[in-house]
Amino acid sequence: MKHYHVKVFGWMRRHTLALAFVLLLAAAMTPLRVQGQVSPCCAILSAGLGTINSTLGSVIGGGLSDINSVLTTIQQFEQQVVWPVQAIAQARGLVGAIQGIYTQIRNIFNTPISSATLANPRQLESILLSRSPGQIGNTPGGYSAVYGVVPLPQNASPEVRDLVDMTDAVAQDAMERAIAIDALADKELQAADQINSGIQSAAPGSAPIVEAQADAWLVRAHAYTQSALADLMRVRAIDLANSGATMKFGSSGAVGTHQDVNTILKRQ
Amino acid sequence: MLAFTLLFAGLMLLSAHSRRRVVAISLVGCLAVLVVAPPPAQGQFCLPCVIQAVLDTINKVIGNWLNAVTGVLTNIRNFYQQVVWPINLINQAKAQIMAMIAQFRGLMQGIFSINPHTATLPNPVALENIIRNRQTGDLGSVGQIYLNTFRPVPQAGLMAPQDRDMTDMDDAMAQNNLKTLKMSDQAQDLMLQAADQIESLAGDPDINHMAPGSAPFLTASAVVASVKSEAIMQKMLAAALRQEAARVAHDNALRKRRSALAVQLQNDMTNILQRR
Repeated sequence: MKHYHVKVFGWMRRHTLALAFVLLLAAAMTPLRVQGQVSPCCAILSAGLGTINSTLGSVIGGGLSDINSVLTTIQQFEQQVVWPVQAIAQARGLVGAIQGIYTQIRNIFNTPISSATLANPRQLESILLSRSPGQIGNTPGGYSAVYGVVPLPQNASPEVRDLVDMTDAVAQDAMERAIAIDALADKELQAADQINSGIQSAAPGSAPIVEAQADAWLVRAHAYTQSALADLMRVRAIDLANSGATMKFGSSGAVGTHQDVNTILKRQ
Repeated sequence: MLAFTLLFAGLMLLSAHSRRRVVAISLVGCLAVLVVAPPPAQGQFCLPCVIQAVLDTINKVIGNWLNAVTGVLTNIRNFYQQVVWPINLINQAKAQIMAMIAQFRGLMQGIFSINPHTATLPNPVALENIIRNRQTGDLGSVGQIYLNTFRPVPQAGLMAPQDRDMTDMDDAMAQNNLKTLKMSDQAQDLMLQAADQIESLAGDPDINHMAPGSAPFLTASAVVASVKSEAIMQKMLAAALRQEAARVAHDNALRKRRSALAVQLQNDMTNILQRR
């Protein structure tokens, strides 16, 4: 046995370098215990990740939860108080119902009202009630057929002719403007129907835009009304002027007659 | 690593007789120990520091921003609920509308429905009734009832042709206006209905029937109703204009005739005087 050990040690002494390389190879091939390097950090990492997790839950999760809560409140407030869908539908329904009223009004004003019985008045009346600007050019003919024309110079004094011509002009102008105003009113009613349809298909955010257009139409309509009122006032002004002129002419006529009578009496 | 060190130490003892071998085995041993036990690298990476930095970022940066966002949203919510659309003021506005409806609507309807009837004879009573009944279904009867009171245009031969024309035109304008007024009366009633409907819905206390967000529909509808109303006003003014024009034209036609008659009278007088 002792002899055997001596032999082995002898062999090892002779091959020390070879054995050293074999050990080196064994060392190189020995798997490394990597976990041995991080093992001390595991506890720190675990604690850190746990802290991060709880922080994410409390700080970010809590913050997002608060935001969600406020946004939910805003959403509910807007949907239930500011813009409830049922209220919007109700308003649209009312607009539709009012459109029905407008249709009735349109039908009322489309009822024929002509009343003249004789030829000339019927012709003039049909022009005046036509609500068609294309008929305005026919007004003077229809007018003169009923009310006559300005007297010839041998049939009236220049003053009277001026008065008659001016009065005829104002009367005809008023008739023509009445046709135009009727036509304008029809167009306004038509536009109002279209705007009303626009309201029925609008959203709460776009309804004010439609309203702005309606406001513009209202301003326009006020202007047309003022124009119509101005035409009416013109006719009344000329009417008043005629009354004054009649008094003037009556006064000068009376003086002339007085002089004529004196002349006749003196001759006799 | 300890095992490798002991083994290499044994080999060095076995080769102690040769210095060169000892040196060679030492070098190989050192190499093996280095392979087995590389220097730890954790000195370059501070894990607690990194974790703390992440926690600081979460707490201080993200947390603060989330708090700021929550603050802004809370302000917006409070602004909406307390300043822009406070429910108490919405209800107060509706209550005011309903109170005004109760205060004025019936009263004004009562005043508006006052409809004087003062004619005493049958024909004028009938005409007064028909021109004030605010209906349009009987428009066709206006002409005959009018003629019953004001009589028809005289037959040809009983009146000068121009006078017949003018009389017929006067009657036509008068009847047209009476009919237009009946139409506008009914249109006014319908417009009043529209106004009542708009006001009633505006004051509806149910938030599902009337809300601030649905008010623009009613506002727009009311403006459209105003346009319609203005158009009706224009039609009435046009009718008044026609009537005034016809009246002025009638007076002017008489003036023309008076002028012609005056000239004729003057000529006749001159002839008479010249004969004497």
